[in-house]
Amino acid sequence: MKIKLKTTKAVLIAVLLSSITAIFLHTTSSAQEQTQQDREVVVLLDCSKSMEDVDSQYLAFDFVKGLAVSMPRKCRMGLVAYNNGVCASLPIGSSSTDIEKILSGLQYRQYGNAGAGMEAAVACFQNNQADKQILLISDGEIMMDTKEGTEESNQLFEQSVAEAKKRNIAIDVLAMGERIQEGHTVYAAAGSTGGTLYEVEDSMKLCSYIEKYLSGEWETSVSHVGKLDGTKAELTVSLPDCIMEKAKILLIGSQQNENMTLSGKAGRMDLSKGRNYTVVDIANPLSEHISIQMSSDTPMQVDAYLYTEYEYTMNTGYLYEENTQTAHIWVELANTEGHRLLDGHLGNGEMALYLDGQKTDYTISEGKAWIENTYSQSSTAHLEVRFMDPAGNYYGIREAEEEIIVPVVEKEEETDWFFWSVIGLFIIAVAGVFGISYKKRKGQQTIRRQVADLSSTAQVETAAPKNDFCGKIVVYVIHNKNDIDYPPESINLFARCRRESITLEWILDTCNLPLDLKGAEKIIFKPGADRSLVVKNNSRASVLIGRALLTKGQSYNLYYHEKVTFIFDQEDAEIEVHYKDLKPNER
Amino acid sequence: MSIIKQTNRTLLFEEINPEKPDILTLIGDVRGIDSLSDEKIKEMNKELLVRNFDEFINKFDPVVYSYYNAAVETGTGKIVYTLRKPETIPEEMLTVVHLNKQNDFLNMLMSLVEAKRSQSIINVDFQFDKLTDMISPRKVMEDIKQNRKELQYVYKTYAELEDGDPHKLDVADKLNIMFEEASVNYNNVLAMLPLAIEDIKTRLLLGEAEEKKDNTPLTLGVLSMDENGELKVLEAPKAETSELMVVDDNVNAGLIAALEEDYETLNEESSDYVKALVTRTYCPLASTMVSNIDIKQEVSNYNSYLEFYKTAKDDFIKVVKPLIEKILGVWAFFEQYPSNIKGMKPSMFITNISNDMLVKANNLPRLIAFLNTVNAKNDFDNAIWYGIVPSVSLDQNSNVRLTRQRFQGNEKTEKTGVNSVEALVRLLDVLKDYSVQCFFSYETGDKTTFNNMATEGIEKYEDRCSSLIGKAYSEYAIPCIPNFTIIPKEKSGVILDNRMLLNENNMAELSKEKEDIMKLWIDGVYVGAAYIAAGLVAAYQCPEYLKEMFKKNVDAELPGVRFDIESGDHPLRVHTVMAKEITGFTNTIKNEINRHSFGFVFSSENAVLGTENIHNIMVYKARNLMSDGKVYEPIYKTQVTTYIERILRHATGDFKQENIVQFFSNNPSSQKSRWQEKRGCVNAVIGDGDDIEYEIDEANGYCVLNITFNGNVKNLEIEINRFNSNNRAM
Repeated sequence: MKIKLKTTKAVLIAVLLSSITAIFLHTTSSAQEQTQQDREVVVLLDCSKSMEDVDSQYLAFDFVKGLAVSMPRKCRMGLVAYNNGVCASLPIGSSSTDIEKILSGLQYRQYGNAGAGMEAAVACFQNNQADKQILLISDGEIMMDTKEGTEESNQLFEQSVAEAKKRNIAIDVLAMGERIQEGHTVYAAAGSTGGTLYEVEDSMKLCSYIEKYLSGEWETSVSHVGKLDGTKAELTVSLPDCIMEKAKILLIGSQQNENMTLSGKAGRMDLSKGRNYTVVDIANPLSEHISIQMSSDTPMQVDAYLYTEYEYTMNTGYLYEENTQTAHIWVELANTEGHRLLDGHLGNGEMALYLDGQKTDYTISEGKAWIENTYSQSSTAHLEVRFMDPAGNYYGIREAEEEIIVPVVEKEEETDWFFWSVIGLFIIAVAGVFGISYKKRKGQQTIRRQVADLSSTAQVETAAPKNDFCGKIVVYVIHNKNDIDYPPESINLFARCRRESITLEWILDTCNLPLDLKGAEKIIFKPGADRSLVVKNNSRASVLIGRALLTKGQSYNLYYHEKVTFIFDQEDAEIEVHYKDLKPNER
Repeated sequence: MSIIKQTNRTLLFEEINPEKPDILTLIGDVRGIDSLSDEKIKEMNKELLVRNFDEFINKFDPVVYSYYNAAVETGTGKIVYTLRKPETIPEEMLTVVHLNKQNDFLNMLMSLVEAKRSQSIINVDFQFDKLTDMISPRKVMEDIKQNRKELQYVYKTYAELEDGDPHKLDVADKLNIMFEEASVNYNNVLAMLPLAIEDIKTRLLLGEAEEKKDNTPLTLGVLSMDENGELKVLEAPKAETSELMVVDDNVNAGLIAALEEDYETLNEESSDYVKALVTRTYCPLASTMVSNIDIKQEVSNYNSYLEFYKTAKDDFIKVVKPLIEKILGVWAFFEQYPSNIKGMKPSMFITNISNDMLVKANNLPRLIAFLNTVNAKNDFDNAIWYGIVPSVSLDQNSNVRLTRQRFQGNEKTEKTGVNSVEALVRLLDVLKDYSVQCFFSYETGDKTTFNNMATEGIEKYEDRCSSLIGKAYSEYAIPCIPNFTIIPKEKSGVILDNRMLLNENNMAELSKEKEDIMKLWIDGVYVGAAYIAAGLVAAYQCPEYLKEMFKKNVDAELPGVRFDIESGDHPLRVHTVMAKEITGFTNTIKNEINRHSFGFVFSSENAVLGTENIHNIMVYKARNLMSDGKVYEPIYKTQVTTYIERILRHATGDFKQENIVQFFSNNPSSQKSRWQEKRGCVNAVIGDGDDIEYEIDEANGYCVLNITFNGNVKNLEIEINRFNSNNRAM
């Protein structure tokens, strides 16, 4: 009997422990599956003289630049350009700025050694899991100055194509102009590697391939958000929400976008434009509406596309109701800043939730998607999210497994008060341990932060003993554009100026001197040792202390009863700042 | 005195002669420099520093330019006067009138002040017209008569001496100078006018008795007796003229020839009439010409001369008055220090530029560089201690006309040369950094006189000063009130002469009609109180001056920085040289002044020192604009503080801590002990009830001096120089 009791107790303790774990930890185990496959693209650009016949306006360059700035985050791009040999090369992962920079130095010249180019392009790839692709932009011809050279190039080309095929590198050929029927050509490369041959007769249409690649080949969710027609056009692009990491608006089509106005709020907004494309790169948008105004002398035909990128982590958990044997499983998607994606537009049914392969209805509460399922015994729930957002691209775990533990319920026995009191004590003890450890952890965290803070402060303090502003400065406008006689103004720095540093712009503002001097904000004053004022000029103005001209970027000490002279842009304005001590009654 | 040789150099912020160098021009570009070279200061002193009134006149040569405008409808044209040299008018068309002691107008004004001083009569009783007629043609002629007497005497001496006699050369030098002075009159027509007027008057009215008038033409005769012994006046024969020459040993003939030659040399377009006039004026040669007079023509000439003279004088006075007031101000400044005392004479440095120009933001750094050089070094020979800003605008809304002019009232012309309060503030802001105490007075006129203040009180001055109170520079701002009156507005009429007319006997006579009296109005001449206040304060800095006034208890070494002019009998002993103007202020006004002890106030009160009556204007209050909320601070406190700071800086090698301790130690040779020894002197730096203590704030590197004046503490904070030989090596 004793043995049986002991066994029962052991089981109960185990169950208790496991249920506690279920409640506190909501353990999630899942395969880190990145559904968005990485992609590597090398653009192989034919820069031979013959290209000029089909692309006199260098629109292929425009296309490559447009493609580079439009790239979604999962794609990385490299570049190889060839004529007599490889004339330019950038490894995979190069930035759009690098690509633009290298293209600006290229021209269509000499012969087309496609073999050398293809060999270099193939060599760019490393052996990894990413999808690999070569985009060959060429008029189709392989031609060198000698027949032998041409043959040699062709042979190398074929070898490289075979190598590409071997390494699962798809080669797309964007063939410019009319198809060449004679001689060695590059067209075959597409077919043999599983790539596609696009015949682009009109180079003006090349830019439309940006969108084709994004939404087609590269499976990026891109949505068409509008069109800008005529000589003056306005478009307001509505972003689905402001939780995204990044949004890109692509304006593709013939445009003369010198007169372009963008309005909207974002953490950062970059604009890249070419002749047939404009890409607005918005990071951490703050407003949902981005308004674009364009005007042009000639009528425009511009299509606007939008794609967004979200990065998230997926958390799951459950609550188990013993009475109904129902597990309430929840799924939460949170971005890097902790915002829940389901609070945004995803909550409007743009996410599907699959439980054990079956699409399941869910409800949204507290930014989490909740599903219910009955479990009579412990088992694993397989969860999967799928997105139906036409413009959204999501980067994060899409599948997860949740271990659902069903507590074992034994028949009620006669209450053993001793046993239950032990259990109660145990629970209290465990809770106490947890509580203490939690508190400790929290305390440690806080202390650690404090130490860090203190250490950083201490570092600052030890790095430079803190000086305070002393004295006063008197500003004399010796000369200004409009020859207005501004009365001298003084600023009491002692015990009034709490800033760490001040700028000349601040001084002029405080003195109400509406001079609007370019670079005044780059002239910095800081308190220095021995009641001096440290002057640092980072602007283009000429700054003199005494007869000495201050070197840009270097700090100089200005002591009491000394003056510093600022001369701005071709003597547009000349200002003297006198540094003086304060009499006791001036304080 | 060995360290600081003077404590009374004064900087006058006024423009005297725009053609002379000014402070800005001399300082030049100060870009990149904080101070000026010693050579530059020497050059500036040479050009702008004056030590007496004569030096001032010589250096600055105040002038008025005149030219003739022929395009005026009157037909005779008009003289135009200007203080600025008209650049478009050729040199030869300009006449320069020098405002020196020889100038009749200036001379008249200075005589007036001196006469008032000697007579000790207040304005209301003073016969201003006795002196104002100094600028009438008659007075001019009287002066010339005096001069020509000397001229004749000297020429006679010259003529009598043999050629080759060395003494003759000396006499010739003297004669040259006298001719030069005389030529000032006859080389310009305007100066000839009073001569011509008086000449015509003399000739036409010859025989006109003072009390009785004879209507018959004059015929010269001789007194004789007839056969019966009856006394008779017989008509004299006309051929006696040449005999006079014989009597004078041909002296006059020689003088006439010399004058004629000189006139012809100096005037290219000489006129016989003027030539004759000159010779007649300087060398009267009987009256043989009487018979040739065209009386009608002469009367007409006389009247037109007189009219022209009146207009010219009128215009001249209007233009020259502001400059004259400045000149009189400088004169009054130097007058406060008796010329017979040879001690620390006040000196004046004159900016000679308009304050509007000086206070422009681009020019102020130049003034700062100058003051930095003279006041921020341990050499105090050229240090500026006082400033004078006269003519500060009193009217805040001078352009607002509230009433329609029904009767011709005073023309409210915008006064030129009036300094705005803004300009004063800008100056004060600079001056305070260099511890220059600035005396300022309000614009002159009948609204700022003793008379006005006696009736209206000081409220308007306090109001006007309200913007200057409670500022860092308040301590250095000293409002001086009221201004001094040289000629009051209501007594400023000058009768030049009466028009002349022909009577029924075809005789010339002066008209007695009221409208024929030619009178011009000077419209009041005043001197800014700041000049006299600064002059007096500068004067009592000199120990010799104080010795002269107090006779005893004056230390010969110490300047009068601590001299409190308000205390005890000090104002009775040290007073201005200006004569009393009014009977005094009412008790209400004095209570108003005493309530806050406002300003540097002069009083015109009856006072007795011992048995001696004081007939001069005295100082009633000597305060700056720094207030503790109740009363304003006496000016001496500021100067003592500045003086101690400068001495301390010099003696302690720029405030070295160890030297400061020594400076204040009880060692008999310490500076503090030496000052304390002289505690009983009138000019003691530390007087009875005064004390100096110091506290050193090691942590912040400051030394605070607590200077106690009769129980009131004034703090002076100085930054200790903590560099010693050890850390200097670093």
